[in-house]
Amino acid sequence: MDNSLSDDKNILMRVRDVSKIYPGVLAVSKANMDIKKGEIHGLIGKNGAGKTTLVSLLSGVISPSEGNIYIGDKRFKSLSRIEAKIQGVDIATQEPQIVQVQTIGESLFSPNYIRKNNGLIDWDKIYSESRRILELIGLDFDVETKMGDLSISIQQLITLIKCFYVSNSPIVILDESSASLSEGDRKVLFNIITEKKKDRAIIYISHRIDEILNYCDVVTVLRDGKVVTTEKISNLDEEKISSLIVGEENVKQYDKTEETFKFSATDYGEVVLSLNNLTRVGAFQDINFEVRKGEIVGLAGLRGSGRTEIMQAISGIEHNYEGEIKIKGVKKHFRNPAQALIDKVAYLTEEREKEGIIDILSINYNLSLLILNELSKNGLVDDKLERESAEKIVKLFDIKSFSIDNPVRFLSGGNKQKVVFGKIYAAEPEVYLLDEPTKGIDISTKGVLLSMIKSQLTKSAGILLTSPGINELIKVCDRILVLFEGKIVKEIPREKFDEKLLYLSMQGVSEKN
Amino acid sequence: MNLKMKLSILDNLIWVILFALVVINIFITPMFFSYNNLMNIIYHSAVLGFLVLGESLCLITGNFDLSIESTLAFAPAIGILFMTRWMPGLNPIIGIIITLGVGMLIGYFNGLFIGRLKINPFLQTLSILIILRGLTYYLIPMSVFNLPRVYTFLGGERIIFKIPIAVIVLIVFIYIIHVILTKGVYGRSLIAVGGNIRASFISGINTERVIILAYTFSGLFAAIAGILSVGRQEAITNAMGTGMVFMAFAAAVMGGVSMSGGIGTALGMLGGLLVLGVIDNALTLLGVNVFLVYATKGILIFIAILLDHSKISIREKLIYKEEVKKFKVKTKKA
Repeated sequence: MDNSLSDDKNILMRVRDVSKIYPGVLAVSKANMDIKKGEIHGLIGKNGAGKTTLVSLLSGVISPSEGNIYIGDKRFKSLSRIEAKIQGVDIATQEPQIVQVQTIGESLFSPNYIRKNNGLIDWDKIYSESRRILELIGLDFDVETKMGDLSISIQQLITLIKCFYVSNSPIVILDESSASLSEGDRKVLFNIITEKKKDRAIIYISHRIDEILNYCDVVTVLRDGKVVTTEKISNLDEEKISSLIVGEENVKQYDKTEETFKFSATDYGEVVLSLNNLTRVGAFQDINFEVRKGEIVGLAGLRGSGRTEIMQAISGIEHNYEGEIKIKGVKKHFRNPAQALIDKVAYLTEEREKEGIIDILSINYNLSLLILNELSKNGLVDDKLERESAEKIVKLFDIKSFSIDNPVRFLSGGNKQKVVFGKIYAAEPEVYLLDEPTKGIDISTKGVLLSMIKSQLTKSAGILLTSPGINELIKVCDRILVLFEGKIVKEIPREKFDEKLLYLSMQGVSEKN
Repeated sequence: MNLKMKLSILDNLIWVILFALVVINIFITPMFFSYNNLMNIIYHSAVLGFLVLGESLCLITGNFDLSIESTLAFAPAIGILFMTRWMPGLNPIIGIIITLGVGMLIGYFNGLFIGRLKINPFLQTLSILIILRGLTYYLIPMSVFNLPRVYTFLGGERIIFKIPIAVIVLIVFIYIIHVILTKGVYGRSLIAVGGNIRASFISGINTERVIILAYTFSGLFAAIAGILSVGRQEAITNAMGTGMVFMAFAAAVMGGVSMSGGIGTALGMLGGLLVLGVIDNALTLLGVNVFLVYATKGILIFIAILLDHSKISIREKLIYKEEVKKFKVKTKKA
């Protein structure tokens, strides 16, 4: 990569040796990129590879720990969102950022409303402009419709239209924009970017290899925070890209150095969880599988493939579905998590901060939350019993704090997650539903948790596990079910575990043999 | 001063303030320290005390109840109307039971709408506040006297050492709430729901039931407050309780009950209650105009809110500093 400023006037942004360091994690490491006008520049990589962090650095959402960003002739050691906007960098995030009560027209033009000469907002002009734009694209919507009344897909589409038709920024970053779009709206998006790329540079993040291959001109592959390579699309195909994403050379290496778990031919116990034709419109369809005691079954899939939705259906958080769920052979339909817990089915949520811990309460109180009845007599909690139980869990999970009476909010992310784990473990469940248990946790704690899952939790329960990281699934699961757009498309037994195969299956690509 | 002491002072700030006030009174108002005066402070606070208990339970769940001051008047009104007009000669014990029942029903009604239907607590309890007060004016256009002694017993009578029964009842209930909050399973659920309702739901707590119960208690305690108030006046007046809900808030918040939920102690509630009572009493003894006394209470509320706000960050800083210190010691040894 050419480190000097080349003469190419078409290069709108140059990224030179940009890094972002968080405590314990190197999120992005010495990234180098050239963003050219007239190109759709794809950005792809596994979950946690650093894609969102990188574009957050480029759009001013966060600041680099080192490195420089050149926009035109100007050099920036760090950008603010406002500065980036002034320099012409616009970003459309994964979830559409909208104000529910605004109309389509207002949403398109805020905050830079068209004004009349007297300074007041010219609504007539705003609405007629909006109508013109929607007509141009072929969208049939009344511009005075409130954003809140529209589907998420259309909401996202409107924010994308704003980027390209109203803001007119020379550099547009789309962070997994197609994820929230319906099939039809995706086509609209691709029409827009193919046409609008002429005067702009577009950075396009996606998990879907087919999108990258079909619509991008060039692609940068990220792995573990580093740029693996930047290649012209014409030189690549599915096979090559997934190798780059997953890293062929590394696979064999880390198998030797990382801790491997023993997978002896254990006799699994009874079937603790079985799903039959489980269906919820819009989320998942015809899900059939079983989990036995002592077994760890992995659910792999992209965001929106149905992993979390299936777990929420089983645990009673979202109880609208058809089909049958059996716990230890008995048909059950939980209406809320309380019922599920009575039948020893425990759910570990994805969002530990929002849904897993009560941060103002002490570690002690948090850990006993599920077992208050066991720890009490006549409605009064037995202090001694409670503390003993808490101390045991703190020791088992190695929760680092100087006192169990300290509020959970002061713990690190990894330790908070251990508290959520410990809380559920204390209830002695027979079915664990672990939704991304190692999400956002530093490497050492990840290892500890996975160890615990493999060695401790399997002693008395069957485990259903999802993870954004394929590596984790490969490490601990006995078999993996791959979900794609709500259906199970593949079941892979341990002997056949292969990172690339998994990655491609998650994309919906079937084996070509 | 080590961390534990510092945190104790912070958590029990209201008692520190009370202590300071009492000390100040030694110099400024010697009349303060007569047995009669001190007993009167607590006696006059008894009615408000029950409102504080009920309000605090709602606050701890992250909600609040504006209707309690109207329930205070309405519940006894119904009980007394049964005893004097609708079923004259009715056993006053039944009258008390009816009063308590009405209070609980009102609370349950509030709890149902707020806990299950997720109606905004402000709107719900505000409507009930207004409806009940209007009904009370309608039902009791003129004060009713000559009430059965059994009914006024709790509020009006005194026993050994001239201790009003109302004071005893208050202390008993404060103790009960103390036990529930510190050791009770229900108390734990209250705090959990107030701390993070979503996490509590996922942890298997019946959050609806917790909230419904909190409001039912609130209604019940408002009814008890009403009975005590009637006992003290030996009459029922249609305006009784007006303006008290805000003082209940004040005492609760000063006592450390957080407006955002999840925090509150019975001891704190008592502390807040006493501080309000002491200020009122001391200023009145000094001859300060009654309206200025009222304004002073407002200033207290303001200070209480500021303290509540900054207490959390002060607490965090103290604990963080301690963890850093311990960490340094640990790494030095290593």
